[in-house]
Amino acid sequence: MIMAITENLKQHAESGTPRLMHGDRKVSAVIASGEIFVADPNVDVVNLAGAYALAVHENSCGQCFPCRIGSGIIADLCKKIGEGKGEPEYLNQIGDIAEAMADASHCDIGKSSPLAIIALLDRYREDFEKAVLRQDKGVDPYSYTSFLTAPCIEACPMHLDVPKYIEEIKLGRFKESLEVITSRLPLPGTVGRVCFRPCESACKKGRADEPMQIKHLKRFVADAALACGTESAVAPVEMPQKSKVAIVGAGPAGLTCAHFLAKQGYKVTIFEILPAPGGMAAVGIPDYRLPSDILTGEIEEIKKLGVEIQYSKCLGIDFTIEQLEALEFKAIFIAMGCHCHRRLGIEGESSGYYGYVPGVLFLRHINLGQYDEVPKGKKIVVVGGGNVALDCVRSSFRVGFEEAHLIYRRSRAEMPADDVEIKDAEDEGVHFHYLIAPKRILGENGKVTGIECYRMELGQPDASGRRKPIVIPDSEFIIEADVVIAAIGQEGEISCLCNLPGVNIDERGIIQVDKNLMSSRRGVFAGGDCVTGPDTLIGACAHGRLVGLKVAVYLEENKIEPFTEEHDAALLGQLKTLAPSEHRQMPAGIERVPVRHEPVIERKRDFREVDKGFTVEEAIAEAHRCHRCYRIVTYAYKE
Amino acid sequence: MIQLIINDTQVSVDPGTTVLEAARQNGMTIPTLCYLKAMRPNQACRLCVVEVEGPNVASTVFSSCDLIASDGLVVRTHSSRILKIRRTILELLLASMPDNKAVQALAEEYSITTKRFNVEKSDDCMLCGICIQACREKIGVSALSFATSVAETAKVAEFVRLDKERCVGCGTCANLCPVGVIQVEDKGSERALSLYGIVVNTLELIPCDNCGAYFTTGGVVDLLKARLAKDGLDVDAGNCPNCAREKNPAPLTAHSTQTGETA
Repeated sequence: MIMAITENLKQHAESGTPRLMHGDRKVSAVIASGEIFVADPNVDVVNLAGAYALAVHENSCGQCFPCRIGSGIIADLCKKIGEGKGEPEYLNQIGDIAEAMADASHCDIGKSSPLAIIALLDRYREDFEKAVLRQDKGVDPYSYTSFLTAPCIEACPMHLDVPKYIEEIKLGRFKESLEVITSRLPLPGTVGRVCFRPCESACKKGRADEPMQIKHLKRFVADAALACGTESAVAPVEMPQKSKVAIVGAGPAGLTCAHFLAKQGYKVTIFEILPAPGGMAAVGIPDYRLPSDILTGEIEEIKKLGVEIQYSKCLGIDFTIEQLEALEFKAIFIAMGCHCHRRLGIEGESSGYYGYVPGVLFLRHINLGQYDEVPKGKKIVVVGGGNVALDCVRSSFRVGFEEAHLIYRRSRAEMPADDVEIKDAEDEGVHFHYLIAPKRILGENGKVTGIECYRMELGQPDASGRRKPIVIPDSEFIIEADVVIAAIGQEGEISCLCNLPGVNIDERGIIQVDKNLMSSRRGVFAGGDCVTGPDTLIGACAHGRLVGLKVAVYLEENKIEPFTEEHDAALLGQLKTLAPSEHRQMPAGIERVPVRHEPVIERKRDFREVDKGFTVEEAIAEAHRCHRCYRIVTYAYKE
Repeated sequence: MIQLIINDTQVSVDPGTTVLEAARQNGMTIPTLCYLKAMRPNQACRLCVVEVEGPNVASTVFSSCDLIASDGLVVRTHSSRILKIRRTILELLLASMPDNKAVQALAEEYSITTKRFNVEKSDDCMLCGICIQACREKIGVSALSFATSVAETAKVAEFVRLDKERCVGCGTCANLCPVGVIQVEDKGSERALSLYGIVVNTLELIPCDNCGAYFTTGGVVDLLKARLAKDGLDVDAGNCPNCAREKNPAPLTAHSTQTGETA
């Protein structure tokens, strides 16, 4: 195995030396477990290896022997060679230790990192041999910096340190685990329930058997903290002293931003158009997936930091950007989401029939308890294949519909909704109809009576990479229904955005921002769905956190630069360190612990939470499955 | 039964048996420093690594303490590859804990005569975590945990920490520690628990109602009572084990038999 990978590494090293950048720094050489690039032939490979080994040593979990002690000794030997105190025997020692580490270490940090040392030692043998004979301490003009990542960390828009919080669970330190999460994400219980979990898709364990259940583990530590009744996970801070910042929208992006600003001492006021906080997380996700008390509990913690939320305040009607600026708000963060539904664009849609509603509105009425506004009937048809469509069709049972149908124009394989959601909906008795598209909405006496549909077939892949659905001629048929819901996506609220002078907005209603998420109007930042279009909750939180930190830098230094962590991510993007091709054999281990569900028959008539979450024993058992696929990246550069 | 081959010998073991246990049951020795049969494998010392080939596995090195035996597995416990790795690990152990008798004995067995590696600070604790596991999973107290002095790294274990408020002073950790970095000592009416040579907790001992000898801490008695109360049982906690046995052997024996059967 080692030979194969070192061969691979050698090929990478020879296959070219692209110009790698870390921000403004030109990277002279980079060493990572998956790859070694040496762009500048003058780089001292011994010092590079030493810096890398030291980083491994500092990040070694500390529990298994070869990695903890071995990496330290390798770093030490490299240091001695660099200082002109080397001996030829050192090279054998480094090689022996690296091999033992790679073969015998328990977790992936110890297994993967020595492969790079072995490859380096192999490829640059001559340089190492010259270095051990050197008697003087040469001046090394290069600096070395290391950082840590993992496939799951890189896949997460927030870059949560997943292996670390899983390890803390494994060790039974749930409070510490939660602290790892909340240091970046103030909504762990919410995200731990509804995240689309890109981390799990990236999880290397998935290639051995099944991915780690990272989402459920996150939820577990959030729930454990609630169950313990521990004092707020967030330590109370002194009353804010610094300048005032306004946030438009109390959704995941706005709340996360408020959390980070308040923790840095800024006085934050959030202006929310709805009568309740939470944004799409509150009004777009049904309670059976995300109980409202979980979200409100986490929002309360943010408010405890001194954040004020003003409700029913609409930008452009109740207040304007100029007014906020006049009120001494030194920075403004627009995070108003993307709540307008995309229209089907078919006949009957504008006829004003009772029983035809957009999906986001259907969910909003249910979530706000406005049941009078929810159209009544026995049979419902939902058009769409995303999570909103699934939320609508599953909620319909819970508000009294007896028969629920979902029509989607492609097949199940192309459906963007979460697979687990689809499975749950199938269990609950939703009728799925694939390869069907709506033609027109039928109505009588101002009331929906059904929907006329085409049958479809799949043609060539389109821009999204999915096969394009094509109408089959003369295939029209009618599905009778009392209520028809359109859930084919959302778009920006342009009407409202018209009142943003100086802020560039594109024709789709998307706010244009620079790399620091600042809009074309100075001091006005934007993030979340109103910048990305309808996207994920964790993505919005990631924007919120970044803006929270950037606003502080902007207000203190009157200029902003991308952060080191953003440069790290960009550098990684140029490397193949975490590419799927970086394959290491992994044993199929303990089976995953399945999460328990409420029984279908009981759950589908009310809004009780469907997933029951892990017990302490289950969480610890699941945490033991993690391989901790940390990867160390060390790069050399000249100041 | 599971059929596998260890060192060219066909062996059969019960399903769920680890490769380490399978070897031991068949008279083959695999060295370990951190393995206890009654405990979940801690996978810390890595000396128990073996070379494994299987129907779907190319030759790979695994630790045998946590590898479950499966049909058709071919295991080599002392191949040249394994011996080389094991020697290097022993050399690392020797660098880190040069005064440890168990390490010295194994080094001798593996013909390691010179100390090739050196570390700045030797440390007898190998962070195997047996004490932590016992305290949490066997005693149910969770007074011990790993700790680190740095926050922003992937490091989770640098030393073992004791939470004085939780510790009941049962001494299980000291009894199990394979390298003796945890010690428990009774002096008169006091029990002292030391970690890395520093006394980290002192607890009052209680005297036996009958003979007057100090025998345990109040915390241990409370823990025991609470546990037995769950089964609707009570314990006469006033007597030391010797006096309790003399006075009335029946109830405790009966209880241990019962739990033995249900377990």
